Amino acid sequence: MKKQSSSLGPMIGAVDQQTNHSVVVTVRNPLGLHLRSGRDVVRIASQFQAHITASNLSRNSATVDMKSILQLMQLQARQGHDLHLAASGPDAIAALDALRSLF
Amino acid sequence: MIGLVIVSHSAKLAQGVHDLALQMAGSEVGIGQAGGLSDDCEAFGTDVQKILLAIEEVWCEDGVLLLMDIGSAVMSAEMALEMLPEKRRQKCLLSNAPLVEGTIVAALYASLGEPLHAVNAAAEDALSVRKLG
Repeated sequence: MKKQSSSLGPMIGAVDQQTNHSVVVTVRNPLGLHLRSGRDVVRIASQFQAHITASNLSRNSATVDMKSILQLMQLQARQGHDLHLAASGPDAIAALDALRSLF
Repeated sequence: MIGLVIVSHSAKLAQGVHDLALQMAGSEVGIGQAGGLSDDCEAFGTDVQKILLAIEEVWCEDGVLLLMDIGSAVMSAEMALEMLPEKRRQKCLLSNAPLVEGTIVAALYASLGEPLHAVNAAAEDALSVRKLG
């Protein structure tokens, strides 16, 4: 991963489960985030209870649901694009940890 | 885990959509196809008997979702369901989703073990989720 700024981990004073966590990942795959890699993202994201979203910082895209393959494809993420992944819920940190390894 | 049936006027199109769906679902999901009027890929149209055979091939108690291309594919699929025994008909669902996008989405969510109506709802989202954002 080329770049990875992370706000993983509880923020000061924030202990409730709805705390938002986020991470920025850079797409390394030369084909970008395509149908099959999107499939793998949905498969992993669906294993978590957390609400998980993504937006493409390189395109100023809308924020999409990472458990939806149709919405993931809307990111039109090419190699080198930076994606902002955000999660909230009891397993948000674990979800982001698992997901960022896919990029 | 539900099964899927692809109904298309073209045998080649049904085969292609089937192969794409396999990429999304792996080998766990039963994906049948009923494309064209004959197996030589020459005659375009939809065949009720082919649809019935495809349903039979992928049948499972969790249900079967049928994805059609257009026009008489929808009517043939309706007729096939009418010919099924009542108990089976109740577990079959015609999807309003577009064929290619809908089948890709349905294959993925079927492989995740989602129930029939949830898989169809995800597939039908393809009607409203814009390709170009």
